[in-house]
Amino acid sequence: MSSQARGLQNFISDLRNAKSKEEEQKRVDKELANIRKKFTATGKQLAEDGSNNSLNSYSRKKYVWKLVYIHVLGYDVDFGHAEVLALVRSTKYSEKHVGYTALSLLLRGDDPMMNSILNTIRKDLTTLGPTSAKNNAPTTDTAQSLALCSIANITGLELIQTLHSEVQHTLMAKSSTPCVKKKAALCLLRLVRTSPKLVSGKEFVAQMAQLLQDKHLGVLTSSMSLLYGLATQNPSEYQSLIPYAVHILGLLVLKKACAREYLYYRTPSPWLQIKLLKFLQLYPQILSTGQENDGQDQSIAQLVSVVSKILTETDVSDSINKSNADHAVLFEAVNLIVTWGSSGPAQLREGAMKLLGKFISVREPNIRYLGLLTMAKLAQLEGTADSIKKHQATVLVSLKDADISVRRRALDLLFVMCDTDNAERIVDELVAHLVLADAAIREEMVLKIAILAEKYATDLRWYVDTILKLISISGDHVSDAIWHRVVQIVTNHPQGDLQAYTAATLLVAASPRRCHETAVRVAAYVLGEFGFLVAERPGMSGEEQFRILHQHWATSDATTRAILVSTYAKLANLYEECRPLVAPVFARCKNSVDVEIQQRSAEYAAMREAFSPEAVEDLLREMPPFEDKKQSALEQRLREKEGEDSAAVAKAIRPSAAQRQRQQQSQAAARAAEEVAAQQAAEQNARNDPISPISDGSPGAGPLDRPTVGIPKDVIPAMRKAFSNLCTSPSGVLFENSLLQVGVKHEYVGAQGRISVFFGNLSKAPLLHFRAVVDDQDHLKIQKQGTQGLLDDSDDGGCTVAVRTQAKLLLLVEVTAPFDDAPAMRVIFETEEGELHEYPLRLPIVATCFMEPVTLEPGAFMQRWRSLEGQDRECQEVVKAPPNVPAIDEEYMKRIANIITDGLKFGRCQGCDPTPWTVSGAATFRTGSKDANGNNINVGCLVRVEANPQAGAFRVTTRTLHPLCSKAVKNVALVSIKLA
Amino acid sequence: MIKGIIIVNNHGKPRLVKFYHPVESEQLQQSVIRRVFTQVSSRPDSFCNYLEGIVPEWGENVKLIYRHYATLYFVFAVDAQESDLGILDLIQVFVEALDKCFENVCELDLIFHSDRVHYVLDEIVMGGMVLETNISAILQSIKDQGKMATESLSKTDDSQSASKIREQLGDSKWMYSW
Repeated sequence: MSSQARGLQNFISDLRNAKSKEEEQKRVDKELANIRKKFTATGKQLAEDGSNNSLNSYSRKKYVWKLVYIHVLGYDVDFGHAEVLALVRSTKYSEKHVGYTALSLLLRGDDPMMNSILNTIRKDLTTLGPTSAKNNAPTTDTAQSLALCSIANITGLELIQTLHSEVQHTLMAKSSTPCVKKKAALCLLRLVRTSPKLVSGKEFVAQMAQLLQDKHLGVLTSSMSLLYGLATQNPSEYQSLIPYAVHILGLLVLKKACAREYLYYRTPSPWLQIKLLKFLQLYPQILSTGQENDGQDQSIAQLVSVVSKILTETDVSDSINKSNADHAVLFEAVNLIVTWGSSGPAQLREGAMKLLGKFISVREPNIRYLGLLTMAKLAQLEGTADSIKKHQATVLVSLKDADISVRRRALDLLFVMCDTDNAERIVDELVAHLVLADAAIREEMVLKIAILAEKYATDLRWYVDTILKLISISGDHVSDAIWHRVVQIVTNHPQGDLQAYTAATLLVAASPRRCHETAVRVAAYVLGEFGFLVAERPGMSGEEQFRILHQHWATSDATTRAILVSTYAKLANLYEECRPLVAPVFARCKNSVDVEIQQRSAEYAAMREAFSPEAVEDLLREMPPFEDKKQSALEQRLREKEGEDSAAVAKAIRPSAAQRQRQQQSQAAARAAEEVAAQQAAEQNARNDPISPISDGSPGAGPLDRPTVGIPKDVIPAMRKAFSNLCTSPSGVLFENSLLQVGVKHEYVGAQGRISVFFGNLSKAPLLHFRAVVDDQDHLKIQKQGTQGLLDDSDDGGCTVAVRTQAKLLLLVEVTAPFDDAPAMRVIFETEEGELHEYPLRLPIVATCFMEPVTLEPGAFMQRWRSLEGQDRECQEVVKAPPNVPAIDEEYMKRIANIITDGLKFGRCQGCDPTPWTVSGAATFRTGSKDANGNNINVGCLVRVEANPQAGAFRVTTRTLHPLCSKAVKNVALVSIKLA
Repeated sequence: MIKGIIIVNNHGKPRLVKFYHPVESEQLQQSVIRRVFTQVSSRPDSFCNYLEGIVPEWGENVKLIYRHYATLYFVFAVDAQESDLGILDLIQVFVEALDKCFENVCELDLIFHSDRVHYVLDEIVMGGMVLETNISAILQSIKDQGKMATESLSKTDDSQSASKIREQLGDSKWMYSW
């Protein structure tokens, strides 16, 4: 090319002749030094912009091109920008051209000359230059084109973004030539991609419509690119343009109206067709909503006929390029049908299915690849499963293709088409293929097999077997997430003999001297948990279990050893004969370099001396069932690998029939267990629950030889409710039966409280020897005053409460330390018949009574919240909403908020609750104790209630400086929510 | 969008590199090129033209779409928004345009006339987006550019009127009737 400089040619030749990388480097360095010298003119003044104005046009271009060439070779070029800019500013076309090309290649965002570059670009874009090319000056449109091109190529720079209004103006200007318009459209798209807010759809949609009526196909293609880009960001704003798109598509497909130059191997501009179809894919609803709008009706009818024409008329042709172009359009049409789903015409869906069936069996690899890809998308539609399953055998063939891209697609499609009917076949095929599969695809296969096996296992034993096979075939690719999942599932399904089966199978799997480490890990964990289920079987005794596991000790890494240590502790706990075997292991491990192993073995070894046998039992008990998370770690991994919108991810998220069934089973079992537990707990609770209305009433001084009447069972539910109410309200009834009513009024200021208790006689006879005994508490200083004799705790003491009168008790309390229970009060009296009654009650003096609301800024709240993270400072519990509540709505959440603010006396921290589904609050727990400086000791408390309306549950989290405070606040919040 | 275009020969020497999705340092760019080359060159021509190899510098979900012509691989890295076959067509357009431009293009043309290759590419792809697919329009632009460049080099020749150039740039030519 004549414009290319001789020196550049020579330079390139030199580089090509370089025999080694070092030689090339040397030549480049020499050239860079030379150019640097030329640019910093010796002895002469540099021009204002820093360029050397003594350089002539020819050499400036030459040196800049050399810089570009060096840059492309991969060397760092950090100078010469001034010269590039001088070229850009030039009025000569040839210089401008070189300048802009270099600019887009060499420029970095932090370039100090950015501002001046920007002005030059703006000038080129907006100034109407000479319309005639006198003095070799470039005409407006060429300068504009160059400017636009470089804006688009220099990307992601904030300063460049400011040019968008000029670009938009250029795009719409009547004076712009098609060539400029094309570039302006794409340039604008480029800008919008980096900052979506630059163009507002409402205003731009009219201009877009105008662009879509352009007669120039090049302009149309670019405009469609722009429209597609904009509409992806905000589809609803551009919906009105659908008829335009359908119209253009109709012209291209039905009438084949296309300028000859835009025919690509006889196909009318496939790129434009693709863009149009892609744009239409953004509106999956048009077929179902179109009917309302008469204007759109027609275009929708046209669209359907266009799509069916594409579907029927595409043929495999001899020319690969022609065939490529046609199929490109066809695949987009199929994608469009997929997005329509069941709202689209059925015969189109069937047609698409048939075509895809053909494609996945052709030899041409590209078409097969795309056929598999598209079929996986189609498989997501309802009602396609059966027709897809017909192709199962064909897909399995592609799974064995030599080409990894094709294999990946086949694997993906198999994954998507798998369901309960064919799961066993597909999974077995996949496992069989895994043996032959190469490393690149193994991880993906293992992950997908694990998900499928879990999803569609009608018998979970099959699932366990499958995972074991995975470990033995490709153990390195079985991630922790996969074997953790096995443990989770086995633990959570105590029904049937799954746990025993797994324990036995894993014991066998771990028996050989050589087995994969992951297998050792699962076996260790599962045997620790469920080994006892099979200990009676021959060859599976505790000792055997230990022996089999321990043979792997020497080859195991630290993680596995840590698991093994825990398992040994469990074995030693269960089987006497294992203890002498385990003890030396622990003894040796106490010196282990690994902290985890050292700590575990030291603790396990010391446990027996340090705790009571029951506590040890408790510690080594089986793990409780795992919380069933909505999304398993495996799905998470799949999502990371394939992105949100892949068909496989959509598939993995939907629970299968087998999963649902299992879930129901375990839920039913859980419910049954819950009921039994609830019954037991109700009895337990009556004694142990710190905030229960009934204290663990030891008869105290009561005469043991006389029958004592306690609290009647039937009033307990009412009492429970009354007590909880009283915890958060200033007055109310604590206890009531046919004889007695106990009312409480209480008020608090800071660390001090004043509690009045009224005992009213409801019977028809006086109550004799009436006594109220309030035990002294460590954490409360209590001063008591009462009706004469009421506080006298001797058998003959007490007062007489006449019919329809009250005895009174006044308590003045001051709290001195955090606490989490409520003080007990025994009420003892005799009836006229000589029946002795003793009611162990509790007074509703709970920690939250001494709270003082604190209003915190959201920032301050979050800071403290985070700083209080930690095991003994945090308490968390999930509570179900009461069964009589219809739904948790915003109204209901207001009630919850009121409980926190009025009942618990916390200050609401509104700023921390972006949605109505959380309530956050802060308060100070005041005590009367003084610290070393004589200030009162206070405890800061934070609480957070999060609602899950779908599950009808609340999670209460409290964080305070004192573990007892956390517990107390949580307990009160829980009972209050239960009553809300 | 098109994240990047790499033309690399059978021995892994890059002949044209264009990053539309910025890759920061030269070092990283070189590692991208190497990675792309090793993945693409290990596949026989009978395989399909798609490769879901991961190029971490461009983020996940980038698909390599390539064609192999004699000594050169033309590799386009694209995201999910592009049509898979459409890009294959585009590579063909690019190659045909180069072929017409250089009259039987070969690797040496790409080496010695890298400027022109860039010009041609800029007429087809701009900022990662397809600009023009009409080969004659692309060639015309290149021709006009060449002409204007020569004119601006020769100081004497200013008789050429702009209207003439405009005509050659030609908007009226590719009008089509509906």
